[in-house]
Amino acid sequence: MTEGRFRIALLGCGSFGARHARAISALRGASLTALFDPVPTSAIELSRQFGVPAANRLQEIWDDPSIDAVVIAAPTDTHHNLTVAAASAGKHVLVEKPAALSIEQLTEMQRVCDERGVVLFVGQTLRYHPVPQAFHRSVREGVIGDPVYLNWIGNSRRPWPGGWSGWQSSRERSGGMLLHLGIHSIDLALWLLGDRPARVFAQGVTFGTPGLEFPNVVQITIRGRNGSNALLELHTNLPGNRSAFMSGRLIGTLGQTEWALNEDGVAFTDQGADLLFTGYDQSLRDELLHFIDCCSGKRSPLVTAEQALDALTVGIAAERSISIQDAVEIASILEETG
Amino acid sequence: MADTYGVLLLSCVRHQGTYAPVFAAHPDVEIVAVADEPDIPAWMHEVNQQFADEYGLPYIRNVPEALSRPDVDFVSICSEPTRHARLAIASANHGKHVLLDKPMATTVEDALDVVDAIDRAGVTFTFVNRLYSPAIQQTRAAIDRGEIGLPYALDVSFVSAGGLTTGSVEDFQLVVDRDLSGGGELMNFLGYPIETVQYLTGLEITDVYASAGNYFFDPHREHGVEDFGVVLLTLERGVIATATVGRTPTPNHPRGGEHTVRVHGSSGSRFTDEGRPSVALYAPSPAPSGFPPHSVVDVMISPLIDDFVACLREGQKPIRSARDGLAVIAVIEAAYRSIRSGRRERVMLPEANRKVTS
Repeated sequence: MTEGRFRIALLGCGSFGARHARAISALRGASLTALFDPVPTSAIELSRQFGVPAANRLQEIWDDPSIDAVVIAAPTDTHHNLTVAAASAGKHVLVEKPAALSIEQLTEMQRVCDERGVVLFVGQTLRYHPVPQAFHRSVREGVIGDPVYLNWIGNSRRPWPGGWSGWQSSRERSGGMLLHLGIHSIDLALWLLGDRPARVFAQGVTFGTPGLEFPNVVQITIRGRNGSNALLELHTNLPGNRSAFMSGRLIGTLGQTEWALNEDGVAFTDQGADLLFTGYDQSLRDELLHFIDCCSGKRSPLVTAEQALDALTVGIAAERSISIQDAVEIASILEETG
Repeated sequence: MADTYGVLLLSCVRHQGTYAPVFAAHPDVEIVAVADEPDIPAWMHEVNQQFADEYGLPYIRNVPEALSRPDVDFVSICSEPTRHARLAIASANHGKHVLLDKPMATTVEDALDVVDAIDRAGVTFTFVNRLYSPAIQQTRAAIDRGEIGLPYALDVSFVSAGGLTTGSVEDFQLVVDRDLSGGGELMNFLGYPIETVQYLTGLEITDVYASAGNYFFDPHREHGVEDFGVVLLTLERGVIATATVGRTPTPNHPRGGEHTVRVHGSSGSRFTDEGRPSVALYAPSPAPSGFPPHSVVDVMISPLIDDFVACLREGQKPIRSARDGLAVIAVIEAAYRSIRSGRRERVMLPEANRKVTS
């Protein structure tokens, strides 16, 4: 590592890429060394802002031996190719959620990273947020007993950057609402309940957005192999002026942890509402620090390979559940992929 | 019409302790007797006798005899749920108005029989529900005023925290013993979220997916009934809803659990918590706590009984009918089918009985 710093290249200079660039630049032990985006204007903007050269071709990044790792904050349909290429060039990989569009893709990504001895780190930033951290601590320390039910409500307001030209609104590129946004809550459910998924049922409504290829208001329930239940609610139509609203509760055999924001008749109207979602930049910083520790072998990724596959499988099962309007057994998805 | 209405306490084994004081305090109601069937277990007779003694009333161990009394205008039925339908039908057949504890019945077949009996007799009927609460009434009023537009998704939680600390051991058998209760906590509680969804949307619930189990309590485990579950409801017009129901051991919950309703509509959303407003108390003793300053009896049961008596007087209909109760039971039945099959299940109701009261 040059100057003792961990050198990171950023692949993808869109809205979340910019947050990564800011977070990486603020780290004392790491530096943002290069960035790349197929849209030159995006790359140039971040290049200017952070004083980092924009690569013209990905090959420049693969060929640069001083680059230790890449952060992939690019559209989901590029994750597989970028991860395989980065790992083949010996770079550690932090890939944004969802890790891939299919189980086959993720399995290959994991295989190549294992073979090349590099870290594959799935960026489920919400796990580093203080609230899920507190939920997890209540499980780890045994104070709520065995967790059996998670209810997580995620409302977001700006899920479609770029409008119709954004990849997020394309099912082909993002995998749909349940993979693109649902994966946040799905991952939390698997992590906090500590149960592997057995069955998924989901239903949704496409609200206020003619032409969207998938529902943007979704209710998902995951039944675990040990019988746990997760009820995840996703909304993208949050009125008011906050970007996101979340709340949740985790019920265990001895007690429960809750992040309750319900107040008397709180109405989300054009007046906005008292919604809280703080600490995301701090979460991203903690995630990056964890990633760097993983790359130097000090720690292992918080999202295990099994959990990454499980979360993706649940997302795929939920998408299918909505289309067939019935419950989907996880085993049936796994059988199809062999 | 009479100035006062005579009520017969027709079995007192569940919840009558909540309703009887409201009757006793009501200016237009007089409790005239306690009655039950002769061949019930001895402990039920004892409970009934206690009510008779408390209010200085005769205890009549013969239902037709009690229902033949001219001073009985209506009955308050609080037997174990599996006898609800039979007692309601007998009361209607004697021309008595019926206030029936929840759940209205424990099978769709029984509920259909209740609907038929009430229709034939033309008596006033309602089942105990939580729709009179200010939280629900205000939400409904906001929808009626168009404030949140067209509801498209709802989330309702009815989770009772604190474990098995309420009621006697005999009482608890009434929840877990299928012969008495007809099911577990879904039979006990799921009606509340269902009626809420039906009342706020005016839409029929067409399909149900449910996942439930025994997570917390030995009495449920011993009887093989669920104590907690998650239910997803599909309504007409593509509207979707979730219901989380059950009983948890969660200690020291300031509001006794989650009794919440969230309605998302085309112009806005509305969240309501039955446990709020809550008042926090910080003192050396008792331990710091937060609690709602209102009681369920004051905000839900008294208004329900007031409305029932007003309906007797005015000849109007309470906000929930026998047909609405049937619709609730049909959804609960589909939820139990879904738990067994692991699939989404269709709500089975004869066409003529589908539409809920809007």
